[in-house]
Amino acid sequence: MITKYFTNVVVKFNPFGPEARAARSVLSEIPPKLRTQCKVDLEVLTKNSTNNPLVEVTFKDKTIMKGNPAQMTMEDFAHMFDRHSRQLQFKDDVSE
Amino acid sequence: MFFRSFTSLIRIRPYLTKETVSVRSFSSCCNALSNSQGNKPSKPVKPADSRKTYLMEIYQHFWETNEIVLFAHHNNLLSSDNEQIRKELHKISKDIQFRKLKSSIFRHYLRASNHEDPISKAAMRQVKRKKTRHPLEPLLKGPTALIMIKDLDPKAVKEVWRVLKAQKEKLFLMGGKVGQRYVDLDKIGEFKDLPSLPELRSQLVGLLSMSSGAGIVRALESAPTNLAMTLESRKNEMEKKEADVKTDEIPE
Repeated sequence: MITKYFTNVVVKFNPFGPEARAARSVLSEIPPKLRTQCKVDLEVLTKNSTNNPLVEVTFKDKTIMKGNPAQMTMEDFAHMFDRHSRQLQFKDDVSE
Repeated sequence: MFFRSFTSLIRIRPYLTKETVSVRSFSSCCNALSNSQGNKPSKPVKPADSRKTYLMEIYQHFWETNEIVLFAHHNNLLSSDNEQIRKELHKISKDIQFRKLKSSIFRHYLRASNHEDPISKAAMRQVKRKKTRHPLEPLLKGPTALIMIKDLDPKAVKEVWRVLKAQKEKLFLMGGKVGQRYVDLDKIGEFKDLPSLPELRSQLVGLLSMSSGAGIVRALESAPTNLAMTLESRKNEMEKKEADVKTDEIPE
């Protein structure tokens, strides 16, 4: 997964639920080097919480992409985010 | 079994610290003892001197000796982060340990933990046959670390909570085991605000000895005192009768 162009990541999940694997995989993809430029907003849900599980990424050009980790796998997220990241990469390369 | 433990003790030594050697030799002695009482020696699933067998034994030791085991997700921690977290946890209490898990092995341990010898092949067969699942298993879907606290102390949990809050998404709690209960984040939050067990006990004693609780104490005491008094009076009666009989006998 290309994480270079992320500026904000929101992850909400219940660690006991079916969404745990995808959400935690997405979280673990973010490298330590990115910590200064990319803010991670994390919420651990429990049985009683009303919020729905969510993975949401804001890119450098303010595009927002989101998905439900209970229905999508890690690969689905990687495909979805990479599609936009590659466009940004291409623009970067052209401008250079 | 004893032979297995002994050989593995010698061969595994390169990655054992001083502390874990003593742990291991102790547990293997216990195993050898329990096995000498009639059970035939069990065979481990993996070779006796393998790292997997060693991990199973050390996880068993952790699970059985710590009252509180918290599961946390760790996110690409740098070595400096690791060091800092360990140092801060150590500052709270010397009994708090932090360890990253090999989750597949820990999952197998959890499933087999009901068996008397979780490392054995028999335990693995039982897990497969019964399709055993553990309530804390879902927490192992990703990079997981354990934070272990020896005593059932809410204050230590509170301090750990504070340390992890500062780490934000790098290391966060998800659930765990407190005493014999399996808990999620809400329950851990409730637990950390409780006073400790000795304090609760002293509160209860205080409440019972105060005016409102004195009635309960008296009610509880009344049954045994009644019984004692009845027995006492019966005894007195019997003694009286005996004395009467004796006095009757004397004139003859």
